[in-house]
Order: sequence, then C-alpha cells, then structure tokens
Amino acid sequence: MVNVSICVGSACHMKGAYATTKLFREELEKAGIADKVHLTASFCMGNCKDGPCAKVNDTLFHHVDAERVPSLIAEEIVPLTRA
Amino acid sequence: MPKFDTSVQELKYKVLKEVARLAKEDRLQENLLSIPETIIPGPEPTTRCCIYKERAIIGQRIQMALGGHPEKKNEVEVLTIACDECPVSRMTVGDACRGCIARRCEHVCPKDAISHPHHTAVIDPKKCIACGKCASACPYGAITKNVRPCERACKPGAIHMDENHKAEIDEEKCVSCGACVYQCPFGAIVDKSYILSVVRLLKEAASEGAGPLYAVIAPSIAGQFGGVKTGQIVNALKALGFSDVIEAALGADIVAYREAKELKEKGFLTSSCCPAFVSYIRKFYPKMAEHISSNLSPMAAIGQLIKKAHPNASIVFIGPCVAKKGEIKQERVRDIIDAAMTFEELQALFDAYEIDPAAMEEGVLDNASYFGRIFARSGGLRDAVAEALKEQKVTDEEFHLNPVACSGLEECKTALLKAQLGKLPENFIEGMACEQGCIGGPGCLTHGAKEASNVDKYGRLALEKSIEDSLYICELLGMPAE
Repeated sequence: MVNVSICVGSACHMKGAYATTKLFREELEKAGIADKVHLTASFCMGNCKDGPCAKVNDTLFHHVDAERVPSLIAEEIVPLTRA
Repeated sequence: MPKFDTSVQELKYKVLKEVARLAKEDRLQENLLSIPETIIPGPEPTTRCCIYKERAIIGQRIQMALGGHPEKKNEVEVLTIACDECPVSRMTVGDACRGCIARRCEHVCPKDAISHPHHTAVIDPKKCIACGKCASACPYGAITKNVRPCERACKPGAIHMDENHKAEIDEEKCVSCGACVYQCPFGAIVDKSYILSVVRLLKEAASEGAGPLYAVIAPSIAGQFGGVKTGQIVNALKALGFSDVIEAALGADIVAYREAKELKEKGFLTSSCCPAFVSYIRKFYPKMAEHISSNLSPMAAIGQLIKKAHPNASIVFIGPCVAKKGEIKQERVRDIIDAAMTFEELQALFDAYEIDPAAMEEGVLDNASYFGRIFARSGGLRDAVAEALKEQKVTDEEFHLNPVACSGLEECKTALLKAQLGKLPENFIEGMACEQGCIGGPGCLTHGAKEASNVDKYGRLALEKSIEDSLYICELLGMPAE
C-alpha cells in the first residue's frame, strides 16, 4: 500500500489543496490503482510557501496543484504500486 | 504598550509577561522573588497605600501566573491582599434623607435595622440583610443599595464576603465563567494561568524529533490585538514556535452539523459549547443535564481532528475564555487539548518572546465556514444549527427549529427555569455564560461594541460558503462529521 497524504492546512488550502485531493481521487481511479493507494490528508507539513504539499510515503512533493496531479501519479505513485 | 480596557489587565499582563520571559530563559526559579520589585520599583506607590503592599499583591499575582492553588477546583481565585477596598455596608442612606415623619423605611425593614436617632435614617449594618425594601419604600429615593462589583457580576451567586469582609468564592457554586475577574476594579479576582505549560510546550516543540505543536484560535480573535490582522497573528504564533495555526471555528462547523442531527433526533437540546453554561446546568439545574448536547465543544472537536491526523501533536487553545482552562481537565478532553490560554496571556507571551505581531507579514488562516466563525457571538450557534438543518435537507415538517439564544447566565437561567417546568416554547437553548457570547469573554483584550460586527466581517471572509464545504476536510482526515 502506498500512503499519499495531502496537506490541507490553511496555506495549502488557499492554493487549491482541496481541488488537488478531489482530482487525486479521480485520477487514482482512472489509473486503476485506487485500491493500492491510501489517500489521506494532513495539517501543515511546514512548507507553506511551496504548497500545496503532498507526501508520497515519506517523500515530500511541492506545488502539487491540479496540473501536477496526473504526472505525479504516473511518475511517482504507479511505479511504487508495482514494487 | 498593548491596548487593554483597564489598568487591571495591564498589571496582570506585566506579571504574566515577566514570568513567561524568565521561564523562556530558564531563569524563573532564581529570579522569582525579585519579580515584585521589578514590577513595582518604587519609591512612590501608585495604586495602594505603600509599595510593600503593592509588591505583596504582585506576589499573589505571580502565584496565579504559576497556576494558582491546584487544590482549588475552579479556575478563579481571590487575591486576599488585593481585596479590601469595597464598602462593607450595602445599604447606604444619602443626603436626600429628610428624616421625614412617615418613616416608611423603618416600618418596612424586616430586621428592625433602621432607626432615626437624629432625624435622619441610620442603618445598623449588623442587622441589615440588604433586602432593599427600605430603598424601594423611601419617597425621596434617599437609600441606595451597593453591591460589590464581583458579587454583582457573579450570576450563580458564588461570591460572598467572609468574616474579614474579603470576597470568598464558593467552589461548589462557581462555574469559572470569569465574569468577576473582568469586573473587579481592583483586580482582586484572577484566573489561573497555565502560561508555563505553553512555554514548556514551545521548548519541547523546538527540540529534535518532537511532534508538531498546533495553536487553535477561537473566532472571537477578530478585532482583538488592535489593528493587527488575524493573518499577522498566525505568523506571530509561528514565530513563537507553533507548527501551524488552526481555526477553532472548524470545530464549530463540526459541532453545528452534529448538533443539528442530535436535535432533530431528540427534539429538545441545550448547547454544550460553553463550558461555564454546561457547568451551570449541572450545578443548578441537574434535572436538565440529560438534555445537554452530547457534542464535544468546538475546541475539543477540532482537537480530536488534529490528533486523528497527527497523533503525536500537541495542541494549545487560545481564546477569550477562563472556563476552557477547566474544560481541558475533564476526562473527555484531557487527552485532546494540552493547554488553554486567553488572548490576554497570548499578548504577554508575544511580548515575553519579543515578537511584534504588527510587524509580521500577513499569513493565512482558512479552515472554517462563515457559520463556524460566527459562533463567537451570541446567536451564532443558533444560526449555524439552522443552516446545518437546511444543508441536511431537513424539512420544516420533519423538524421545526425554534431556538432561543441566551446571552449571559441571567438569560440562561430564565430559559432553564422555564424548560425545567416544561414551559419553554423553544426547543433549542443556545447558552453562553458571557454576555454577547465569547466576544464578551473575560480573557478578551478589549470588549468594544464593535466586536460582534468584527466577527461577522471575519466570518464573511471565509473561503467555505457552507458548513458542508468546510467539513470536507473531516472526511479527508478520516473522521467524517456525520
């Protein structure tokens, strides 16, 4: 199981973190890996300036806005589900 | 110097600031005894008969800054040295007394306390029970009733004079609302401070491998701290060492949503947000206790959500409230919130750490909806529950909300008395121990007439337009508000 956590603290929220989470759900379904990923949220990850932030397992990613979601899933998450 | 309503608040602030500053520098123990002299340098006294009495009172204030007397269950204590100025006799005959021959006052007195030895009424304070009948009877209005400000402020009637004429608090009756703290003109009643716990948590948070430390701020913060914006307070809190700041108003959204469901199911409820109101019901109207909403308060609800997301987090609640300091000791809340402090104490903490919020860039704070934010003023919870019912698509036929918003314990008392007799037409009691709700809280820096409009204005800035919008985060965090 891959753990994905998206920061929904105020700063990331203002930069569109809620939209990121919604899109994440849809894209995980599309990629057919929704059952292999545990999607959750978190309060501040301490990198407010570079938000929205997301953690994939223990790796922190910055600027995870709606545009970035599909590539993040394809490049970082799909390989982990195969591991 | 920060802006306070009264010089009493300022004096309290100076002590808290000094205690926090020394604790921060790990020098409290060796400097504890020199604090009174630092604050009252002399040589001339400014508030009392001599600097030695002023310093002795500072000593008692320090004790309160260190948490007061733990054996006393309530959150407020009388500073015995500070309390000695109020008049002992409560009924006073003024110059308007003509020494008339009707002498209604003398005849109406149930204790024979009034005589007219020199053609003027004289009241024997030993016999007088201050019933006030003489004042009502006098055609000249020459007799007045003086009630000590603390006694007048204390709606549960927990304060009386002891044999030395000093105020004494009956712990069995006290609900820790803190009204007396703000009303005593000599600052002789003070709330216990846990500012040292906050300093300790800040130190721990700075150490390696520590869990995050969250500040949860109450929506009544709008308009406090002069012209400083809430976003600047957020950054000032981060500069203090908090990992992040979260709105208690999100907890209020959760509470409103759950309260609406519970109310529809049970048909009659009282709110449970205000810990002093809850305590008032349990102490004075125990038969009504079964109708108290089973909800946690907004503070505890948001705390629960934070700990669900970050089990190793510590949480400090910052608000206008004295009773919250007691609430966090309750079994249901003990493991959720680590410390509670007031806006007054936050001001002292900022200055002890030499952080000026006005100089900060504006940070962001947005977790809650308009409805969660307006909990801070009387009627806000009522409006939020109405909104939640609407969002839950409860029709008027299914459940008709008929709420009463009680601002202050006197209004709460009226509603509870009626409800106990089955004569309350309303089916939901919003009870707030402080007049105007939390914005009238004793821990506020200022209590202006504009506070309610500040809260509404702050509410309208919320990104989330509905309660359900703001509850999306609960679902994400694995703790849906359903």
